[in-house]
Amino acid sequence: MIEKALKGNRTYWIWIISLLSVIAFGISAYVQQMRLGLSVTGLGGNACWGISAMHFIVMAGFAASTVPVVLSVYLHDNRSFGKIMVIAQFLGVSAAVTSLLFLLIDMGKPQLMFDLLRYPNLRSFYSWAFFLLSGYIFVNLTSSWATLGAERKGVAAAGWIKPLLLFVSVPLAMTIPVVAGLAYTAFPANLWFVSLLAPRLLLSSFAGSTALLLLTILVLKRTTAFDAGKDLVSKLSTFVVYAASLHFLLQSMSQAMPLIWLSLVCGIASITILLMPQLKSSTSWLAVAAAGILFAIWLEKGAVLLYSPTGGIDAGYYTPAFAEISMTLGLCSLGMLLLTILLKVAVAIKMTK
Amino acid sequence: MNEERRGFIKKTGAGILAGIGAASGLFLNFPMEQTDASVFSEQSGSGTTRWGMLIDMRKCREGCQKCVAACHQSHNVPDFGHTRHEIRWMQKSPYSNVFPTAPQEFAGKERGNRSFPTLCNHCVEPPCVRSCPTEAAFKRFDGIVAFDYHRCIGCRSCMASCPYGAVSFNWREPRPALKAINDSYPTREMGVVEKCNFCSERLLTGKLPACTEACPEKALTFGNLNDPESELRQLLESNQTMQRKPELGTLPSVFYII
Repeated sequence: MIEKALKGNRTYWIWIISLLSVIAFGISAYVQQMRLGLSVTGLGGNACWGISAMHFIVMAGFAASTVPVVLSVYLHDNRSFGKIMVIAQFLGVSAAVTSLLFLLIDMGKPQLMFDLLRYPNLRSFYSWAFFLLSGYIFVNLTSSWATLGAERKGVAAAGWIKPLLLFVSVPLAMTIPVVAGLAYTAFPANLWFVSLLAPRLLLSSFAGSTALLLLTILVLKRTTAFDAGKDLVSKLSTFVVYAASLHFLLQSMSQAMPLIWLSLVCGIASITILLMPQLKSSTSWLAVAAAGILFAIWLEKGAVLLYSPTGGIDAGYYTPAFAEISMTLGLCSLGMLLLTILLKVAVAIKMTK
Repeated sequence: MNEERRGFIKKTGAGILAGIGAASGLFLNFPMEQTDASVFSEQSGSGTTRWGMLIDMRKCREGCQKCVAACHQSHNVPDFGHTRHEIRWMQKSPYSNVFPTAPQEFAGKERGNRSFPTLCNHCVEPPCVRSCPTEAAFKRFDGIVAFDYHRCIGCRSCMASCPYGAVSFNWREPRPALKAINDSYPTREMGVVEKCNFCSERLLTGKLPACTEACPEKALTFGNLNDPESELRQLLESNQTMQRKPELGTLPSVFYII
């Protein structure tokens, strides 16, 4: 099936090559980091975790994109969502892989990564985040590949897929954003440790991942022959409106207040677009709103995670270094490349039917 | 397999086993630190030994850095001359940073600016041990919170979770920044965390921690908190003392007389 990703038009190859060049840029920064250590980053005694850890949490949140789709199909018996099930799963897998890679590039000794398996500490959220993300990637990749294979052959999907998705994938997807977030903040030292933390992480994850799914579907509609249909798009955007409204209602505070205000304004404007009937019917406006919500959530995570007081004796401000930004861009491109390849296969199979 | 070959393998195997046995007998005390399983206790902080320290600020001299220098010299702590990448096992910090949650509304300027020696608190409930994903941070039978430099993956969870800022990370290669290398303690490499170990390597030979020994004013008292007869316990009973951020429930083993 993967051979379908090797055939594409000019735009497809230009997109792939531009992603590859950004990845190369990121790799060169990572090589630098391997040589000189994490001193190439802007981190230090005053801020021990930076944008890599922040993106680890953001990406773990985006991995929940399967939740609304799987629940709609298998729990609420809304079969129309079956059409985008594989797409949502591929999105979740790409986000989870990117999240794990952000964890990896932030390690001082990435060559010892498998010590996480050899000596797991079950009291550590970091350990749990690693296990859950790996399990999530495995479960979703196998089941979506099997679904797609069945679709290609024109037979019904295997019987094990439904229970696997409903009882393993969905609980994992709902746990990952919280566990990843807690791995960063569940410490007595951090003032972000409040009882609203878990619901807030979940809401931002639902809003963000569904907005990303909506955006992906709109991009597919524009660039390929795959059209999810008006009804599905409108259902997804309704879901985004509720999740995002609740998320912004519980907006967290940080020392970087201007960023928080910018995030709020951007988020509320996007929700307003999604609520206006004349704008809602336009694909471009919908895409703008989805992107706006993604941007608002990303900004909020950045403001809260990077500019909250830490426990050290001399906690201070942190500025990401050029190398870190390069690696972050590279990894985001890697995630998009993976998503592009997976979606290319999915769309090719769906269209040849 | 013929008989001759079989016999040869048997003898070689027996020889290797005997060699290992002899070596383990001969080098019994070599680089491993001895532990006695009988002193382990299920309940944290209640074994026969819990090492602790009392820092008497009535005696500590402002501007004196002897404890810090002795500690860093004896543990091969590098000095980069770069604040952000600095590695600190021990340091002197202003009162308001050391006790940020203690009442200081009307504290005199003198006390607010006074610098206090700080080190790892060797908590009974250490957040770093809880958050370490590979159990590279662990609590020893004698209450010392220790790090395994070979198992550390450099994720810095311990740094993020320590409420006292006691853990440092090797952001760059530490060895070139060492002026003199002390052979009695290993050096570290880039990409791992490190912190005060309460001089476990010195305790083993019956010596006091380097900082305690180096203090000219005898402001630091080291001892066993679980021994009611120890000098440390006597001092704790007869003086009003403070721990850092006691409200977090980590139960620090380092106490201060303000």
